[in-house]
Amino acid sequence: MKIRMIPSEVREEAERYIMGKAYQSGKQQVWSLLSEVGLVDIPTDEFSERVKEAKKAVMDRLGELLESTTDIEERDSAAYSLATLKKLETALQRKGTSRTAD
Amino acid sequence: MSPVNRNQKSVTKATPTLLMRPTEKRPDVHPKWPSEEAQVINFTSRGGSATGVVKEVRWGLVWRDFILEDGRVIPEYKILGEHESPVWRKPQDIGQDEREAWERRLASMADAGLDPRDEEQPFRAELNQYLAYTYLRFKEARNKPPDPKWT
Repeated sequence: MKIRMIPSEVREEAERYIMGKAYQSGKQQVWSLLSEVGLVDIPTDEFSERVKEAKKAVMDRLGELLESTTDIEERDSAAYSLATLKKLETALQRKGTSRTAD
Repeated sequence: MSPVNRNQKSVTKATPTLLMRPTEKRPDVHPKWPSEEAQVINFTSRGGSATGVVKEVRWGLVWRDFILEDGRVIPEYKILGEHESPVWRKPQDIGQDEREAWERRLASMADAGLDPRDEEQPFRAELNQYLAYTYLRFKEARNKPPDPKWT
């Protein structure tokens, strides 16, 4: 019996197709997740609230990281992100105040 | 290091916005659109639908943004009509350099007094992506084991 080999280019194309489908499926989950928490298209008046929530998420993670002696790199990057979020929060508060004054 | 490599490094440092990877350099996804020709797009806007001419397409931390010739920034998921599904990035794909460049840019835009409540403007677009990315990076990573479909 003669077994026909699948040409490598056909096999590679099929693998790319299958991997692409799995990738897209994962992306759909992310889309749903971000939509549920209101982070896909943040309404104009909700930026301050979303920044506060992000800050809390980072602080929670930072708390965990501070308890462990490993993950120093992640701890540093979380601290850096927290500083950025604090800066953004302050800027938004300033903006909110100036808009109210207008 | 060869002279070529030294040049590449200095260019990256001088222009941090280059860290937003253009679409064609992503190895994992190969969108067939937009074409390289100037393209008019229709997209959803607060006031209904709107139209604009695409100047550039850039990868953000989570999704792609379409930069229009008039400076407006439109996230890919808002674009109307027949095209490929929006493509997304995993938080793990974002390196420290890219994240920190993004954070520095946001901080400087905030310092400059830009307001994220201004519709379709770069600060709003970048802050929205940063918050989505931060959520995926920290909160979701704590609550769930890694989804095998992502990898």
